[in-house]
Amino acid sequence: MPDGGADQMLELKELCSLPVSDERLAELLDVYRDIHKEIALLKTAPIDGVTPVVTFDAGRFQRESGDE
Amino acid sequence: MSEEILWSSLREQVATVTSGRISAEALAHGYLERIARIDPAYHAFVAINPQALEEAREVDRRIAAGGTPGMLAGACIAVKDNFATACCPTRAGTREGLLEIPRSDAHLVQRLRSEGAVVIGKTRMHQLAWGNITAPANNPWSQAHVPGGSSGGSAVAVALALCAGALGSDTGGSVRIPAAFCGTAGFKPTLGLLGRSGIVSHSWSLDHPGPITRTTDDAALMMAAMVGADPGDPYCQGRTPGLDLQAAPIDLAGLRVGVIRNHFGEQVSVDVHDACARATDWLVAQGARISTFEVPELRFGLGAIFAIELVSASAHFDALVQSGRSAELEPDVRAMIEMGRLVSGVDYLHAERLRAVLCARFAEIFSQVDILVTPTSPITAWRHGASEIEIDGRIEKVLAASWRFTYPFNLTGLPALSVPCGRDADGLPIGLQIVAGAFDDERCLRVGLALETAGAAGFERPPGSV
Repeated sequence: MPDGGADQMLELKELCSLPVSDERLAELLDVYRDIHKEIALLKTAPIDGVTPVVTFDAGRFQRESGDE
Repeated sequence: MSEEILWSSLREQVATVTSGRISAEALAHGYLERIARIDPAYHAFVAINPQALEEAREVDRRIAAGGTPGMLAGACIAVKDNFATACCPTRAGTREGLLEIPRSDAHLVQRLRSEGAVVIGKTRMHQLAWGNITAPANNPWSQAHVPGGSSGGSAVAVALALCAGALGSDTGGSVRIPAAFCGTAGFKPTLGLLGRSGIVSHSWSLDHPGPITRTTDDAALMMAAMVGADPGDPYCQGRTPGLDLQAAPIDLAGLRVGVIRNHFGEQVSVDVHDACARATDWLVAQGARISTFEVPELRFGLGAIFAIELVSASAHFDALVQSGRSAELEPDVRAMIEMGRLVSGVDYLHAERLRAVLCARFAEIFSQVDILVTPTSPITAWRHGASEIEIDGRIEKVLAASWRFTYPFNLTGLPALSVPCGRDADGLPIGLQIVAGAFDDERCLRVGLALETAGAAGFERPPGSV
């Protein structure tokens, strides 16, 4: 997270393609910090070796259960 | 016409219209009058269909001509404002002009109309289906309390008999939470069972449309009318299960019921816990067998759904963000739409991987049980303006608490029904959530119906709702 310096705020906005004012970005970061605590927990989740289901296929479960 | 018919089940209303005992026009007229009289205090509707009476007359003409009026003949259905409709503008809770939604019926609205339903109007929702308040709508059980959301207007309309049934959508609990808070049934089917084209998307892989009704049987009837292929939704599998709950009732003896002790057993208000325990005990008394499970991976679920939901919504509404028009949204929704840009791609994929882990865990559980039961929400409706609640001696934000038990089934896509199972000390409704394996939607509904039929759960009229 940036410390709020103007250069860092500008760089973050560019990197994230987020066309908002510095003030608005600061507000968003304030809200996002709490959410990010939950998202950051995912790093410690038991996901090693797991293939992400990027395109969610609910039918997968039916096929796995043999009831196609 | 007595207003009693307006409180009767959707199935009864269809039978009454089909048999000619009452016309579809009279029924629609009754609902329109009731909405005009009652809704100004509850704000469930954002638009009334100006063609509702003509649509009802068309149903009457079909019946008079001896045609097939459809399984929902004359049923007055309210539609959440994120389903596109030809009869009314669709704004998904935003101000006029922000979104450009075609004036044509969403796939599910077409399905309902093709079965003889009459769209009575569009219901209020939390903006862009992202929130649980649905301001300024009021809870039917207490105008000082929120109805829940995001399909709050649909649940209010059903609970106050302002329609026979309603459509909602559920991305993290938005059908089940308002259903629980307003004392109605609300069903989120398996992802891929209902087509979603024409719905203003929030998250492609989490959005689930579903019915909100006064009875589980009515939810099944609406589902039966809506299932089937939707060429406009690549997720839709086109399955057409029977969903006929009027066939033989489910045999509860030997029903394998799962209870997940962690997550769903933590930080639950006493009244909610006790009401859900009573419903579970009733199942046991009928011969159901309880098994308990732990799903430790659920502790990562909140991070996963946040990452997926934020990124999906930001991607879907990116044009609003890039043009600066996200500033025209309500502050809470605007923040969510803009924040997805802050989530890294790596974290997003970690979330998808966690989701795969949860799907596998629940598939394993459903190889051992037929259903899971949980409270729909650990809390009941909160007072307007409240942001925190004390549960079991701990303070929690109401928004965080309200969806804790519903979002796992958006991540996993599993079918989940909320049925009313009692009220708290303040008289506010409590919901029991019944979950089944993928595409075992009918079992969910059958168990809900069994609870309702026995009086162990079910709809009650809110006080003063004459």
